[in-house]
Amino acid sequence: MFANRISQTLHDEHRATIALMERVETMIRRRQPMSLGDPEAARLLCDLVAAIDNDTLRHFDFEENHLFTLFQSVGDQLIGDHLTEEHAFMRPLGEKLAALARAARHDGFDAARWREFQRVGAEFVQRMLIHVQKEEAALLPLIEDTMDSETEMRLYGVYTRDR
Amino acid sequence: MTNAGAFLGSAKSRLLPASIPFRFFAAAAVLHVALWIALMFAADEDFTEFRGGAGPSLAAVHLLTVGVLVMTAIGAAVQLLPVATARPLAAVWPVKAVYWLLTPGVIALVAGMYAAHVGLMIGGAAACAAGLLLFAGLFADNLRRAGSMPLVRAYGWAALVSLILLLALGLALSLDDRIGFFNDHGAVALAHMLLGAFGFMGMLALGFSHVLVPMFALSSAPKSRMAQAAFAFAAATVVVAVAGALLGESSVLAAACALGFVAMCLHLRLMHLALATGMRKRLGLSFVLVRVSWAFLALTPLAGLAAVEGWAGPGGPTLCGLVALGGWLMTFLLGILQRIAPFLASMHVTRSSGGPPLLSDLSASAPLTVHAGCHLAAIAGLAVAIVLDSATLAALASAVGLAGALAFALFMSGILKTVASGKTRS
Repeated sequence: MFANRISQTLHDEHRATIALMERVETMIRRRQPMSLGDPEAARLLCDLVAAIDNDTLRHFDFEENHLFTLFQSVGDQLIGDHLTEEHAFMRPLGEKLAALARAARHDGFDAARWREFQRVGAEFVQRMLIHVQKEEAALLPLIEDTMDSETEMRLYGVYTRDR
Repeated sequence: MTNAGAFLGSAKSRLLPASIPFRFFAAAAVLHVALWIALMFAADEDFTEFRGGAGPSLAAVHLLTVGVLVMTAIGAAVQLLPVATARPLAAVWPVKAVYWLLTPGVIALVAGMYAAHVGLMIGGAAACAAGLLLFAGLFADNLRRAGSMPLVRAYGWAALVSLILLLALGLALSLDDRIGFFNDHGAVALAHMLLGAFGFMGMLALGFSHVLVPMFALSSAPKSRMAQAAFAFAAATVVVAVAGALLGESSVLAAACALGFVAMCLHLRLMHLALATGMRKRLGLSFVLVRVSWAFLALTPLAGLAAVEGWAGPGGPTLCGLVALGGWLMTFLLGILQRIAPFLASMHVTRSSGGPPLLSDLSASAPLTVHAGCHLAAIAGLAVAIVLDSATLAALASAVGLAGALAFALFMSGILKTVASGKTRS
């Protein structure tokens, strides 16, 4: 879909993120706390922790440290500022959600923890869905349109090396 | 700054004051309530076999078309088009003028139609025509300056040409009621209706679908030859249908139904592809309405053919109008409106607890659930009432529709209150 490998990689990660967010969205609508005996619930908690720890925060860091600084250097600051502001709201939410999921994998949910997981999860999902929408509409086409092949090769190496 | 990079900046910088789009949405929500009330009165008169002529049925049709559909479309278009084309509106004051011409205009027009008062009808039609011409000028200026999205622009131009013709015929029809210069008033009225439903509103709905559906589903906008072919068939449908109406040739109208069938199949295939390839699979209640509206779109050419050939009995033309205007266009626009209104509001308010607001802070889900249930039941009830020629059932269905419209107005008033205060409650 994208000729630029960075755009394509970020796009693939967005697709995986949206699929995960939709699973979280479905799960947190339940009134009763999810049970660890439910294999689907257990898998979701595991996937959520792995995605936030290994992918989401790394994805944010790469964009802020490599892409937004690059756009800023060519006078395109607005997009980076806007998306960085959204990262700033999502990063602590993601860390909190991962911590709640991690704790639940060991101890399960009581009613209070479940309500907190629902609250944080709902906010994280909503913010992530809108954020991905903006990156798909604005950031990925910008990378595709402006990045030269040398920069693409260098930054692709940086991003995939840290995986 | 590059075009793509300007997108987010432009989304903010091209954001109109909240009062601009929301005044149209608020008017549409109020006139939506009035529509169902008018239908309750029309049910007792000639609604199930309506063929035109002043009275409650004609008033209800115009409450739907000008009051609900056009108001919603203008509110959405003045905000979405500048963001989509990355070209700002030439000025904001003409949009306010459009509102102040259109709102009293539609009230006078509808009151004149309801009471068969020709002077009110002419005055209302003139004010509506002036407001819509002003809107057409703004719309044309923006489309002319846009360099991207050729398909959306093509739909936009087709809608614009239809609007001009629609207005000319509408004004002429209102004058004809006093002077009587048309040989066949009914044929011109049919052409006016076809231009409004399929030319102006239909082309806008089809064109904006190419932006909005991929945006919500997180998929790519259709760019294929199929999309171009869908536009060509849709435009040809309108041209042939209007010619058939003016010539009074049922074979030409039947040919328009066939063209419309192909256009519909292509459009629905494109929308299916956009949803199937989209990242977002759970699109919520709004897309339940959108999908139902597509089912009504699929029925429209068949209902049209049944009306032309007389297969659907004396209520056939009314049924076709219900399927196209109520089933397809109204259901589609209300589905889209409940999606974009909270999104737009979120760009104008802050969250009391800090950070950008969440969409869930801005709209309650219960009124929308009530609205969706009532709306679909009311459309189905009206269809059955037309087939059975039952005034009682039509009145009952209209009462259910009224309950849905009140629920939708409650949803919209909640958003308006939040926008007015500038802060969410949580």
